[in-house]
Amino acid sequence: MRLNEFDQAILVWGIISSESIAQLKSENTLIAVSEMRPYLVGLKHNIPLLKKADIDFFYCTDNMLGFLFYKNKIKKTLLFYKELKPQGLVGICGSLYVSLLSKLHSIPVQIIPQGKFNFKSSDLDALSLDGKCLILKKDINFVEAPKEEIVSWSVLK
Amino acid sequence: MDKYYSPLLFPVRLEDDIILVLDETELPFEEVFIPVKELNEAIKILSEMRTRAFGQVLLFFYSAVLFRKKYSLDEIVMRFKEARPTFDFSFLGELLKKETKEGKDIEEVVNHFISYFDMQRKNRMKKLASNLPNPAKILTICNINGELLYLYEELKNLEKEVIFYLSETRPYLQGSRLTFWELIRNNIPAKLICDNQAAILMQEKKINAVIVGADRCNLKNDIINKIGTYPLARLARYFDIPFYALTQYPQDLNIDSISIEERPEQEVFMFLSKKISGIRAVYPSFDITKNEFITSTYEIK
Repeated sequence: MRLNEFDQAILVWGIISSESIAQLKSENTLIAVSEMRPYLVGLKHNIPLLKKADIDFFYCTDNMLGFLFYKNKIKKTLLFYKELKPQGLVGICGSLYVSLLSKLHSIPVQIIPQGKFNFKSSDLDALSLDGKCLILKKDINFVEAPKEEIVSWSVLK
Repeated sequence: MDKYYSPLLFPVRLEDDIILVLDETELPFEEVFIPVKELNEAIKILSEMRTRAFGQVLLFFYSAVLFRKKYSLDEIVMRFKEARPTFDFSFLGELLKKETKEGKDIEEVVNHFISYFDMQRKNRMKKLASNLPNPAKILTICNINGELLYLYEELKNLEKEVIFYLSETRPYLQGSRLTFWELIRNNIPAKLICDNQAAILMQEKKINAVIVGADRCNLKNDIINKIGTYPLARLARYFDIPFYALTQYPQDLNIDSISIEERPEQEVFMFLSKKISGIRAVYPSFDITKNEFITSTYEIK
């Protein structure tokens, strides 16, 4: 699929809940499904839900989002969160990346409670992809562990 | 012999009448050199991204040396451009035409260019090292063909501490498969991250400089580089972290007029363990970063 084949899409970041499917369907807009490393939430969780609900989508890797914003291809971000805290929202790895890119491109962010995802059966960090080790075994100690991220309310304003 | 070494510093070489291309898609697990004897083979390797960045420059130059009796230089340029439209092979062709106009041997011109380019790579890393803080906590993306080894050596000469954070660079994983491999095999401190971890690391002050390569640049210092570069520049500016780009041969052009290569969608899934089909995907393989988000460039002219 080429970028000139669509006008604008709604970006979803985080674990889609089954409760949110009705809203996604009512948006009647193409959905941009980001990969969401390291867990591949986009591929393993979000796409099956969207397919089942017959919602139109396309897939991209996380590092392509900047260019999609640059090209004005994203009109809204739906950010799925784990919990709300006084200092901000708690979301999966990359939630700050996506929230800031949305803010820097003046794209509105709507927050929604996340669904359930089995993190235990997925990749835990950048050392593997879909269960496949990407580096030589002896080098396995050199990784920055992903974690839940707090996105402050000032970023989401 | 340099203290630190990576085969990616010179991933393509000419030996007798054969071009040997390091197959970057097999790294880090195997160091395989693909022999190239025909222009079609060179174009196939390029299309399949078995070499890229400085490797594609070397492949172009050696193809010009080896196949010039069978094909005109313009024809070689055209074939290379068809395979990788974002990269400026026309400029390389013009450079060769200019330098060989007065009867200079093309192989001599190419060898001179490569030595000069390597010397300039070392020089710019010396300058950059002197401008980096101590400790230097550097985030980078994709692969800069061994230049980080030169940077590390210069930082050590200045007795600066350094750690590299390497963005894995989906979908081709050049950060994991190439940069991580070349740094760790030289015992250089490095940590691998998912592309989307950049913001949180910047917020936690684990990064104090971002360094990227550039496939294209213009006189205003706008750049085109591997997909994922632009968001790093925007985030770096937000967190007030300097963003440095390594550029070469800036051209007088509007950066937005350059066609951004979009790769086949199945390549987005190519390093996954299972074959994926029936999912629509986009794959712009480069993005554009305007000069307003770049602190400074380190240029080869």
